[in-house]
Amino acid sequence: MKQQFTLFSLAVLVMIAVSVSAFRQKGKEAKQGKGNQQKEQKDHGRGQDKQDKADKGNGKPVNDNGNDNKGKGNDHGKGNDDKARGKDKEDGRGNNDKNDNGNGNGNEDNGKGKGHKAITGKGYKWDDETFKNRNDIRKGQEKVTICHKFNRNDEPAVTIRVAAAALDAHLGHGDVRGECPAVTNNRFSNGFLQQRRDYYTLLNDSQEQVLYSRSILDYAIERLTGARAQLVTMQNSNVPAAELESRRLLVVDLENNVSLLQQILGVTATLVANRLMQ
Amino acid sequence: MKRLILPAIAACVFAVACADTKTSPQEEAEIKTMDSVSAAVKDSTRKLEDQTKKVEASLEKLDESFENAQNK
Repeated sequence: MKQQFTLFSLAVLVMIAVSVSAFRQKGKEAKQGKGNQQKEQKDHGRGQDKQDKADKGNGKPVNDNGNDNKGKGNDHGKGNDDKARGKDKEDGRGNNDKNDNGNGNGNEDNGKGKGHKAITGKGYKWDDETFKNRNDIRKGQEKVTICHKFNRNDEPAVTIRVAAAALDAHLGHGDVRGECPAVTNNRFSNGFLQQRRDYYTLLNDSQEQVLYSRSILDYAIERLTGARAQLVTMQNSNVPAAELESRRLLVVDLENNVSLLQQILGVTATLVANRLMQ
Repeated sequence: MKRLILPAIAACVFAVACADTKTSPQEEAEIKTMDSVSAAVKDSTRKLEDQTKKVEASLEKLDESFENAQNK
């Protein structure tokens, strides 16, 4: 009898222990989201706090760009919305971009300073000098953490990191800086939320590529105009025909590639933009 | 009492399964949509990246050629 009782007690204890550990895991994930947000705030909150105070003084809503934040994002109860808003106001949303000066421009000069005039927040802008260092400039730019929100009240917002060059596009359609508030209810499965994060990260990486390709296209068109003018000058300067012909072929090659790039860019830009706005 | 051990273990497994919210049919449908869109976006972005590199290569050849002409 005693033995049986002991075995039964053990079985119940095992059941309780496993259930508790499983629920704790979910709690940890929620806390981690909050913890990350607090960490962001400690590191980078000061500048944002100042901005928030200025915004408060001006009567502007603090945590978005004038859009109504009620019921949006991933808080589905009133209490949660209030908490999220309160957090955002107090903590400045943990801007992860150390050197962001509010214009989406990149870093302070760290040896790559020459290149940063090429990043405008709306994309890239190359000249003869910066074009040569474009790879370093592009790789070296800061990534900014934003909360990508949706227009539907039941859609969970998703935290993503975007390149500084793409920042304005996101802020323009209602996204805000900093991580999204942690999901406090259990409405969406973890698998689904992770899929959404990956999906929107992919879309944003593609959008950055679109911006980059557009900037290369703009630079190429500008360069083509200059090259055609130079060809005319060379023709009048008695440059050897063979040399002139080789340069002409290079111009034609660039024209063909530019034309193809325009087509592909149009398709990709439309595909990505439509999905990002959904 | 021994008979209660198996149901206790079964209940335990059930509790663990319930602890993690399963994907609903609506979520599954959305995940499928995201997967198909992701494939299309990846393909399109890859083509864009390849063509951009071709334009960059053409630009570099052009710049080199015209710089040489200027230096002569």
